[in-house]
Amino acid sequence: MANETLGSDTVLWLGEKRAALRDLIAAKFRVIDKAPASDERFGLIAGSDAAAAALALALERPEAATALVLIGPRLIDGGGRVRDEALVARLGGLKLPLLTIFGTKDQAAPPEAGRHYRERLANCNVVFVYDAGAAMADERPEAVAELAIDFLGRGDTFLVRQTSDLLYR
Amino acid sequence: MKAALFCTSRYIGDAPQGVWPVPSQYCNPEIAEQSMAVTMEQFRLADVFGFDWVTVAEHHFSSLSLTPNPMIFAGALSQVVKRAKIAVLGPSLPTLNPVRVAEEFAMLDAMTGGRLIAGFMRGTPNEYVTYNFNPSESRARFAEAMEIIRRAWTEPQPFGWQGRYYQYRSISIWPQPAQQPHPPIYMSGSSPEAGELAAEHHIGLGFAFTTIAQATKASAYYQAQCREQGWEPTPDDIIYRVGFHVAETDEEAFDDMSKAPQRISLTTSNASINKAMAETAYYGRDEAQVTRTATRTLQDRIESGQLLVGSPETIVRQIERIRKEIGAGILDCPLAAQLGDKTLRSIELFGTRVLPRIREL
Repeated sequence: MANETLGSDTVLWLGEKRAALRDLIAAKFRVIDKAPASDERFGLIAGSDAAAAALALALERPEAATALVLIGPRLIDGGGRVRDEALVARLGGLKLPLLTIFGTKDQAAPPEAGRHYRERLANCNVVFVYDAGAAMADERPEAVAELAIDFLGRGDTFLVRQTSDLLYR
Repeated sequence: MKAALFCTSRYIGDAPQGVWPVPSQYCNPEIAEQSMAVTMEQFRLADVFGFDWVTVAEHHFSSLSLTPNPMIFAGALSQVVKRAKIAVLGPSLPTLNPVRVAEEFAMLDAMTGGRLIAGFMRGTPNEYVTYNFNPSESRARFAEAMEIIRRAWTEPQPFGWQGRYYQYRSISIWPQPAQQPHPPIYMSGSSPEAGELAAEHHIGLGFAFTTIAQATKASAYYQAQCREQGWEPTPDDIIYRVGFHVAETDEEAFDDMSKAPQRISLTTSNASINKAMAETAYYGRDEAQVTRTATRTLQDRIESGQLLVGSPETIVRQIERIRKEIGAGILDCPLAAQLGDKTLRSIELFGTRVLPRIREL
C-alpha cells in the first residue's frame, strides 16, 4: 500500500466518486463511504461541495484522519468570499496534512480560490491541475489520482520527489 | 511606430556555413569574446540613438548566435542599456524549465526597473535536437509552459502544478516582476495555431523572417481571432522582424550588402532535421513555411519585405508599407550584415534619420 508512512490503507471518500478516478484510487487504497466508528485511522478525500463535511470530520476526529485531499472545494470562492464562516473560522485548529486541488479551467472552484485557502491555512498545499475544469476527475483522472495517492501516502513530504529520472543503468 | 535593434551576436571569425550544428572546434574563444563585445557596443549605440527596444534571442550550436542563453546577455545589457526596453524574443519555451524562465524574466524586469519585454518562442526546428525534445509536442508544451509562467508571476501564494508535460509541487518565485501584473508578453508564429493561441491568451504576436504578403495574411487572421475573443489588438501588439542596412545612399547600401557574409539559415542547414521535421506536426497549418525559408536573391528579399536596404528615405518608404499592410506597430530589426564601422553607421542612421520619421506612422 502507498500510505504506510501515515499508517492507514483506508480512504474515506465523501461526495461524488467518478469511476475513472475512483478506480485509480481504489487500486492503491481501500475506499469506504462512511467514517468507521472504531479507532481505525483513515485518509480523507472530498470533492466540491463535500469539502465542508470532510473538513468538519477532520476537526472532529483529529486522531483518526491522517490526511485530507479536497478536489475543487467550494468553501471559498475566487474572490475570497467564504460560504461557511463558522466552519472556516475553526480551520486554524486543523492539524492534519491538507491538499487542495484546483483545475485551471474550473469556473465553480477557480484556481484563484487556492490562494485564499493558503492565506487562512498556512499548512494548506495548493496544486493546480492544468487544463482541467469542474469535471477534473473525468478530464484528467491519472493526474488527479497521482497527486491524491502521493499525498495520502506521504502527507506534506509529497513536496519532495521520490520517483527516479534514471534512464538506463 | 517603434523599432528594436536585434542582434544574434554573430561570431565575427571564420566558421563553416550551411551546416548545423557547426563544429565547436572552429570557435576561437578570443574571437567569441570580441564578437560579444561588438554586440554589446551595437546595443549601447542603439540605446543612445533612440531605438525603443534592444532584442536578444536563443539559438544554439551555431556561429550565427553566441547567445544560447539570451537571459545572460540580457542581464549584462541591463547594466549598459539605460533607456531602451530589453526584449528577450526569446527563450525557446518548450525546451526549457518554465519556472526557471519565469524566474529569469522576473529578475531581468527587476534589474531593469520594469523595462523587460517577454517573448515566448517555440524555437527554430533545430532547437529540438539541442535539448532532445520531440517537436511534435512543442505546441502543447509551449501552451502549458506559458500558463505556468503567467501563474508564477501572478500567484501570491505557493502553488503546485500537475500538468501534462510539467509537474511541480511548490512554486513561489522571487523576485516578482517589476511590471504588474507582469511584463508585456509576445509570442511568435505565422501559423493559424499561433494566431489563435496569442488571441486566446491576450498577448502580442510577432512575425519573423517572413514576407510582407505572408505576414499580412497572418496578421489579419490574428486580429480577427482577437476580436472573436473579445479584445482589439493595437499596432503595439504586432511585431514584424525585418533585417536592415542603412547607408547615406541606396547605391552605397547595396554595395555594402553585396560584400556581406552569406546569410545563415538554421532552419535549412541540416537536411536530416528538415526531413524529420516535415514528418512531425511542428509546422501545423503554416502553409507558407516552405516559401518563407527559401533562399532568395537580395533584390527578392527587399521586394518581399524580408530586408530593409537603402538610404534613410528608401527605408522609410519600405517601413510605411509594413505599417500599412501588416498593421505592425513594432519593427524588430536584425542587422542584415556585420560590416564593422558601416554597421555602426547604419545603426546611427536608422536611429537619427529613420526613427524620427516613422514615429507618427
